[in-house]
Amino acid sequence: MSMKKKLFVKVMLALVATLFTVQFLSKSVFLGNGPQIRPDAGSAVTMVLSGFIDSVTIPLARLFNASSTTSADQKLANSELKKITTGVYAKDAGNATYIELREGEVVWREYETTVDGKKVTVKIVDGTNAPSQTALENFLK
Amino acid sequence: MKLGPFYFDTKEVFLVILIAFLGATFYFQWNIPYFDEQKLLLLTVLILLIKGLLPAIHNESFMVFVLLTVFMSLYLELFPLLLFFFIGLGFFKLLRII
Repeated sequence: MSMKKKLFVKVMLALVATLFTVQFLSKSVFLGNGPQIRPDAGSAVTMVLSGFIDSVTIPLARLFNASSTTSADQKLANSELKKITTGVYAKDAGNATYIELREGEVVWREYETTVDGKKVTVKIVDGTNAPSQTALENFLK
Repeated sequence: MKLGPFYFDTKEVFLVILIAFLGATFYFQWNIPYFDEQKLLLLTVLILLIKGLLPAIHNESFMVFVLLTVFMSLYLELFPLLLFFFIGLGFFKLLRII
């Protein structure tokens, strides 16, 4: 490679590396486009670095173990939907769950209850258990 | 071009004209479309400082870097722009470009 080409490649490499470094630093280390350093800079840097390592290692692991293991998405795609109740279907693949709600098929049931002294109407799928009072209070907070 | 005890090459003459023009934009309060004058002024100071410290052999690489920094001033805020300038210089030194 001629000297001129070598210099051009080096300049481009330096500029691209600079752009990525600036993006990384201004998002993970500095606060609000200013010189203040984030109080959680250490953990933010660790998170970005581990994300980067994962994005490299996970595809590699998949590439080398493609035949022995299948991803959760593939397992889900291969398993069949089970009917939970009218209009609600689900399938499970160990570490992933897929729930399908077919609104046209769903039979809704409405009931009235009191939350924090106020009367509320709760609409649930017919055939399922009503949520607990605590769960309702937390939901309506 | 020889001005008193100083010798300016063509690039430096153009740079001096450019800085005089930038000074005029401040004095007459002209607007430079899309560009922020404050960022350009700060970049000019930094560029002059580094240009003064660098040997003339690195003019071309430095010019490419400066042009890109000026262009990046359209997109980056002041502090990320300063980071870009200094980190870029660091990478140029690291890769032995300058």
